[in-house]
Formats: sequence, structure tokens, C-alpha cells
Amino acid sequence: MIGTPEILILSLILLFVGIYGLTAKKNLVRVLISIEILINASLINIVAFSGALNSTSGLILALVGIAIAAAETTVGLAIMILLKKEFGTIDTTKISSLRGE
Amino acid sequence: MEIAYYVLAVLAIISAILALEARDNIYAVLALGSMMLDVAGIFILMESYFLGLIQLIVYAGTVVILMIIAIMLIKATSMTEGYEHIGSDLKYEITTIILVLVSLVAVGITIVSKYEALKFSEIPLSTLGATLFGAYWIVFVLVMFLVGAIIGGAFTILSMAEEVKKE
Repeated sequence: MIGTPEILILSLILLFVGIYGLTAKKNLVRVLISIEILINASLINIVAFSGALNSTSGLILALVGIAIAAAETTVGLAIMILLKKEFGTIDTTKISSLRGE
Repeated sequence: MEIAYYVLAVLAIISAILALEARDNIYAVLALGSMMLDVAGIFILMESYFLGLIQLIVYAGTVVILMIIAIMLIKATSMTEGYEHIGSDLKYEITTIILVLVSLVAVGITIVSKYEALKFSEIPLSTLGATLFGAYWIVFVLVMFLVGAIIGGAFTILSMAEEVKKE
């Protein structure tokens, strides 16, 4: 059986990778990917604690999280398509500079 | 068991970093899919079999395909989209494809090694279903409405995109 600390360390590393992507990347696709990485890190965390406490509540929470995350991706992609049609780019810095025109 | 976990964890971290650093957006999403596969394998190793399979179907399957289709639809394949096209970097592409293949093999081996446990799980699906539709039925209904509202919102945004295109 895998120990909980090892799983939490993996979750922490993925969390840092996700935060790095969210802050450093300007491309909307990369921002969406960063959010997915963050959600996966949180799911690993939830399942680790669920296993440690021997409870099914964590699994239910993770299932709900997966459903919400999949829907969130749909909205993110729809916004990306809208911005591409409106501004012709998905670069966040260019979009913010074009907003006033 | 622990070796399998460490292999999957290292693969997941490398895939996550590659998903942010690959030059081509399509390969970035493929690397993300590789990470999802590894996380599904980790769920299965943690004896959360149902969640692992849901992760495989919803994330590694649907979400990745949806993202690839959306990126190809708006032709935003390059990370430096809008700037001078530098050209794709072959080493990122080869690494991504190798990562996806290795992740597939690793998750496949994990599922095969856990096949007997999958059949006789300690937490059977009936328990999970009884918890979901028992104590947490109100959460389930709320999430159902929430997901419906989110999908409706996505359709509204896409119809706005169509109006922008007509203008």
C-alpha cells in the first residue's frame, strides 16, 4: 500500500506546476491546461485523504469535481473560440491591449 | 506496487511540465492526456477503481479530444500564435509521443495487475451508489443542475461567437 505522504508530495508538485503555468503563461490554451493540472492535483489530494480515512465521501467529492471540471473545460473552450473570433488571437496580453479599441 | 506508483508519479510530473512547455498546443494537450492517464493509474493503485475508470473516460478521453478539436477548429496550434512562427520543435514532439505511449503501457499494466481486485473491490459499486444517492442525493441533484447551467452557458457563448463572425 502506498503511504499518504508520498501521494501528498505528488499532489503538491502538481499544484506548483499548475500555479507556475497559471501565472507565467499568456496563451489561453496553456492557462486552461494549468487549471486542469491544478484540479487533478486537488483530486489526488482528496482521494489520498479519502483512502487514509477509509471513507467514501471523498470519492463522491472527487466524482463531483470531475463532472464540474469537465463542464468548466467546455466553457473555457467556448470563451477561447469567442475571443479568437472577436480579437483574432488567444494571447491574453494582446487581448487586454486590444480591449479598448 | 510502490515501484508502479513512483513510475506513474514521475511520468505525471514530466507530462505536466511538458504540457506547459511544449511549443505546439496540440502536443501540449497530448502531454496533458498523458498526465491524465498517469493520474488514473495512480487512482487505480490507490484502490479507487471506479474513480480511476471515470478519470480515464472523462478526462483522458473526452476532455483531451474536446480540447484538440477546439484548438484545430480555431487553428491556434502554435504557442507563439499571433507572433512570428518559429516552427515546431521536434524534440518536444518526440518526447510527448514517447510519454503518451509509456503512460498507456504503464496504466495498462496497472489495470491488468489489479484485474482481480477490480472484480472483487473492497468498496463495491453498490456502496458508492448508495452513498451517492443516499446521503448525498441533494449534492447530486445540485451538481446536475449546475452542469446543465454550465453547458447552457457554453452554448450561449458560442452563439455570441457566431454573431461576432456575422458582424
